[in-house]
Amino acid sequence: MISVKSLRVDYDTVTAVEDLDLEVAPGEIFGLLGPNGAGKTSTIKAIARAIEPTYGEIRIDSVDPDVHPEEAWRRIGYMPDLPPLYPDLTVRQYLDVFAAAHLVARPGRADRVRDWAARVDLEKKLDTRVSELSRGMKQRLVLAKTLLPEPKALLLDEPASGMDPIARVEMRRLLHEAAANGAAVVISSHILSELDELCTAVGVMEKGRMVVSGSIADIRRRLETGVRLRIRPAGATSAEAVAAFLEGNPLVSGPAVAAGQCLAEFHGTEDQAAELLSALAGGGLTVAEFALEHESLESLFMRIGARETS
Amino acid sequence: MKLVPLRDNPQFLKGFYLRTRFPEVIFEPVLAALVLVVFLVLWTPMGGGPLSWKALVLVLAGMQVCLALLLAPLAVVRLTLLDRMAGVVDFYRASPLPTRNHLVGLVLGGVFPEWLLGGALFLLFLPIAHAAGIPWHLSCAFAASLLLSSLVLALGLSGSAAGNARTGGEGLIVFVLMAYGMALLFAGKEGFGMWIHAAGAPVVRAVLTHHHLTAGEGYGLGQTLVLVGFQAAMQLPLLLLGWVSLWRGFRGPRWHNGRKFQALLLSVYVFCCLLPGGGWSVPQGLSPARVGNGVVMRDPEETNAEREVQDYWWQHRGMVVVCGGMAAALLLGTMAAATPARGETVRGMRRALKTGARRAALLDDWALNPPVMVGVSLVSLLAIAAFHATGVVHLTAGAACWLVLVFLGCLWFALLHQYVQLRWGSRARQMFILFVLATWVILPLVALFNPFGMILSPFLPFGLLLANFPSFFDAGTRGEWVTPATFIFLAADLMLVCVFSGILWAQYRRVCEAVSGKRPDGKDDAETRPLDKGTGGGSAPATPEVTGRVGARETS
Repeated sequence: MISVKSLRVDYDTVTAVEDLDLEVAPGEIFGLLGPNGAGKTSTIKAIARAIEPTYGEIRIDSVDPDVHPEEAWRRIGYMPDLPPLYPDLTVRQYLDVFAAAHLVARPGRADRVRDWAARVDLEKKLDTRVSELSRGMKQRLVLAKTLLPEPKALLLDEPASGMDPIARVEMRRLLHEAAANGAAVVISSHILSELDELCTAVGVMEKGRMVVSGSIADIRRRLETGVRLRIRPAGATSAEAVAAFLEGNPLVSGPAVAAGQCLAEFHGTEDQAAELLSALAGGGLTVAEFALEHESLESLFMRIGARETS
Repeated sequence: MKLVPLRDNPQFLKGFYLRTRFPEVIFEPVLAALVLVVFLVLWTPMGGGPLSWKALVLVLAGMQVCLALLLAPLAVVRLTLLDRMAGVVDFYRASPLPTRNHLVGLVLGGVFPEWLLGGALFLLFLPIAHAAGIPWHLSCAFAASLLLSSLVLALGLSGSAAGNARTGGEGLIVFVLMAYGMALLFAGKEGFGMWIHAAGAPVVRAVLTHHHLTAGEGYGLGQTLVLVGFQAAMQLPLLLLGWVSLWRGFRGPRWHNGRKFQALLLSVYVFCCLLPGGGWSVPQGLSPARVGNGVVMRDPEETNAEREVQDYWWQHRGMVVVCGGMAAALLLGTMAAATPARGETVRGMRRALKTGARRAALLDDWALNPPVMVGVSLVSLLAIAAFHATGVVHLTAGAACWLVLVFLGCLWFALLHQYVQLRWGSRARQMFILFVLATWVILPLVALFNPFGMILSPFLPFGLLLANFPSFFDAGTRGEWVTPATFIFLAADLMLVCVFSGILWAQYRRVCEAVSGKRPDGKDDAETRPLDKGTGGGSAPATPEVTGRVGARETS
């Protein structure tokens, strides 16, 4: 569990993070969103103690890093946005150095290094120098280094940047696996669609403050975003007829016709949607496709107010 | 203090992997070892006479000095810089391995080829030195002395290299330390003071000059042990300073590696260096009258008179050095302690306001305000006056004036330094360091290697003028030297102290107001004045009020 209360981070004359509260439960994957300079990286660095916060109460698995720093670090896996590497070490040596730094015992360390290299698809590169790896491979190498000690709190800053689609899918799988094993994960990413699939909760930061946070469903509910209803008629039924049928239904608003389909905002539950479908059929309207579409995270993010995605 | 085995030490592993890459890196020590072996093979047939052995001893000693004082520290610094440049330090900061393991691994892992080569050289050196007539204990002391100096250099330089703008401060402290070292080196030509023990010079000199000594007049085992012990004691503050600087670089600021603690260590070191060395620094066995085969014969009366004059000179000089050392140490400590820049000072105040005066905030982030600095100076002056009153030292009027001038000069320099930190940007701070470089290193050299120019030079132009005054050390023979110019300088320094105290107090007040809305004297302001750029920072950027469900911008 990662718990942060009243976190503040100052750099010279700039306040990067201000009075930030955050709770990430074991098994939860929390996505940090925000425009450039919102304070995401500073938040992650402060939790990882890579920078000294001005003040704030941080607990990692109930351990206070101020009082027991080494106990806290034992529980943390931290991956910065730019992968810090030793270009002249081989992949095997690099993983071995940081496995040792995280107290992975020598008997079995070599096996664990080999195993994690395989899990990020670098087993054939074990004796290749880091300087000869591509950017995506370097990113995967640092991911392996981060996951290798099996930490209880994972702090990942833009982990997918530079990865190809297959590596991203693999990364998602690894993170889901870590969460399933009880790790609390905080991840910041500029690829919002990826967070949509990955995260169980998100927080949007702007100018150092957490503007909104919670599970994606919760945010949708708080933003009162309706679910988009899309109905594609079949046979002799026209989209206009469907739109006319929906007019006046209290659960539906703004039915419109576009590209031969009827689009509307739906404000009910899934059971009520099923009843509506039955009513359509009962009204003699033939329906080829009846779909409830939730608003994407990207669209939510834009609605929340960030001008640009980082 | 349990350490993990070296095979589990990440810094050692990193150093080992990086220094055993074939062929480019491992080549260096292997080549050095090969050159050594070839040299020895060629040398042996030429050998035979004692002169030849002594020459070989000198060559091997020179190689060990080069290895310990140049190559090994450079290797550690190179690896530390690599960690910093690659950004890997953050990984080490977030590592659960206790910090001491990282530091030990860095020093041992990074330079293991140099240590191995040094060990091999020492094993060669021992029998050859013995053949040349140098006793075993002196050879071992020589190696121990080099090892100590090498550790101090490696830790000090890598501690400096590990610091950055975020951890701050180390650069200046280590820089000032180096400046002091250089100045002391030249001050050492005067042949007094404990400084030479800090450099390990007596042991090295003993080995290098041993062949000039007649049997039985050199350093005995006990004397050698005392010399090495002195060196270890003198270098201990530096060793700790390097250790805590490196610790700070790898783990971030804590109260026990805070700037004020570093300043204290530096002050202790400087103070010790300025202590009169007496017979330990110029052992009787090496005094000119007893050195060499040609013993200098002198008239006993002439020798006694000379000794009396020398005793008098030494007594006064030692006294002034002790006082000057106290002054310099205390005030340098004050100045160095006040190094945090504007942002850090503001951050420290904010943290203290929020969480109470925690140790880290008080010992690391908070700048010292003018009343504290003036208070420290006054207490130091009173301590010296008490020494005078109790007869521990005897101050002449000239010496007292000089001391007051030193204190005032130190004080306004410390105030100026604090002002620069609070008011100016990073570029100006760099210029200030250049100023320190000029005044602490270059000008003392220009000022005829005057040992007191080293203490006075930061306060130029008054210091330079004072350094060239007819010396009050000669007070006993030439009379006192308090002139109207002395009082002019006193008045000028006092004026500077007052001006900078006022400016700094106003600056400090603005920063406090910006952080808390209260004046430093505790009075509430009706409203907090906004902090204009460049006058003390930390103000939060205009943050939108978070109201309603979203708040940052209107929700459509």
